[in-house]
Amino acid sequence: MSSPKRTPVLMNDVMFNILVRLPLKSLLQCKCVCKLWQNLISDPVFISNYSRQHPQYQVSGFYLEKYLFLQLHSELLFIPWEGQDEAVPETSLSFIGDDNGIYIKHSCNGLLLCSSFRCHDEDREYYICKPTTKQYLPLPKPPCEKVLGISIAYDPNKSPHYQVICISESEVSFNHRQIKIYSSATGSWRDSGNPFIIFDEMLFNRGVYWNGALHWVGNGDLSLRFDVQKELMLTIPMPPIPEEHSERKLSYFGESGGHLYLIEIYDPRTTVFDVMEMRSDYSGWSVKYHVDINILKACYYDAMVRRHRIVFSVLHILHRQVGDEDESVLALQIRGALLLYNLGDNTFMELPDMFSSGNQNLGLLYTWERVHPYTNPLCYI
Amino acid sequence: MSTPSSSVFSYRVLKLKSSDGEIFEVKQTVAVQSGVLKQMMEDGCTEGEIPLNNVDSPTLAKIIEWCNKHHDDDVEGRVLSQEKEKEKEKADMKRWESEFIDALNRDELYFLLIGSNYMNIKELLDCAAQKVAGMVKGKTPEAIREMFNIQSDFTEEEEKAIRKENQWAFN
Repeated sequence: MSSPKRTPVLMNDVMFNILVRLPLKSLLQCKCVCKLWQNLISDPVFISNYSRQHPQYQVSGFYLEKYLFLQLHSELLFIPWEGQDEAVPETSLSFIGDDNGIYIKHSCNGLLLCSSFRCHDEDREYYICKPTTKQYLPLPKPPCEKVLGISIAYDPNKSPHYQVICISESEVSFNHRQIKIYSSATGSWRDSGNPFIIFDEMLFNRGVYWNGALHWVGNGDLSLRFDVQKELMLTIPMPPIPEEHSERKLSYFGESGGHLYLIEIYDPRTTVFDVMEMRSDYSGWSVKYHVDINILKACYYDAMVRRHRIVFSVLHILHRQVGDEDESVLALQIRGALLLYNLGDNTFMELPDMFSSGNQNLGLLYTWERVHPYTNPLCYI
Repeated sequence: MSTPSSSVFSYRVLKLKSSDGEIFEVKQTVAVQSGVLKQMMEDGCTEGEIPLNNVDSPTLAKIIEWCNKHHDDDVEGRVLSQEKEKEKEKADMKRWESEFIDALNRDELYFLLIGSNYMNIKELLDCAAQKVAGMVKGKTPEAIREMFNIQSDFTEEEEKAIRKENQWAFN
């Protein structure tokens, strides 16, 4: 037997070239070949290259979540908006296998933060989950008695690491809150800053990540943002609450296409409202779209009008690039139908077959608080 | 009167020296497929022998065979009587490429990858990388380690954790 030449060792850039051509399942399996490969596959440059070359794994849209009586898991629908139908994630998160069921707490740039559903706080587990590839990772329990809100801060274009920001009650007093941060880089929780006093009712369970900060609105005057990098809690200016109303009437608060949007509707009989956008320097809100959905009222009169009240719910604002133009579309629900209303040209369409027979809870509308945007700009993480 | 530079170009020959000291003569018009050699030509530093320390003679011979086959096949540039002929020529080239790659054993293929990466010959690198990716696809991590002669440096727990996190891929 002739002695064979030593098998050559392939360098990183050659391996890069090979790995980038693998189908997603094979690629993820390659993560456990060795540490070098794992690092290569987890590298942001590699991920963005891979994602560009495999657009078939990309999807963007939003989850609608509903809690149903006596059901272990929350009920989910996924409304795709852009990308490939094959990449639409399955709407069951039962693959996480939590005995207490699973529901979504927060979503951010392709990651879902889920937790146990039917259980007491002390038994609650938290998971970071990537639904298209069914990857999930249990988080260590937040070190506190009661979690008031928990959100992910993650920008894959800036860092492969994410942080989980938890607002908890503090032992100091009933009105004190404490911020705790979990970092995926260290794998542990720590306190950020000192306990602080909040008297207002804040929607801490509905954080919105935008511009490197998490944002929370409240029903009163106060709204907050937490700059994740500087670890600073600051206030956000809000439109004044009209004198005749005792609290803010939020119809939508969310991020889309790099914009932070707010919709408030005080008059339940109106078809007119403003979509406001936060200025990037936080100096205040400006009206981005002045909307009148009267045309919908005409087409769906029976479904929308109840004793002079206009019954509908804003779910989400969707963006996409059409040529050089930004197209913004309002996803609305009325009883029995889901509508996409184009904010640019005021046209609309109904999404067919959105509500299967089992799902036709006629009176119940989803609200923006149960919408979880999901985009996987990078098809795996 | 000026002579078009390309005609001067085409008669000149580069001397490539493999890692084991063999000299290969290659026309400039062929060598231009290598990004590295092209750059050297543009910089005017191709006098004498050009040492290619990462490429041994059997691999360099293969690389030159590939480049010779491809240099004359500027399909868009030539006047072909019919579209059909163009199509046929493309298909013939594809067939030639896959036969060329398939005839290599695993180590030859790796050396070719390293060589084409080193010399920056994109089409050859793509073709060889695609072939290896096809070999990796569907293999277990154990089989892949064997294929590339890699020792796992994960502890049992670490590997278990990665497998668990990526369960979907292992089903």
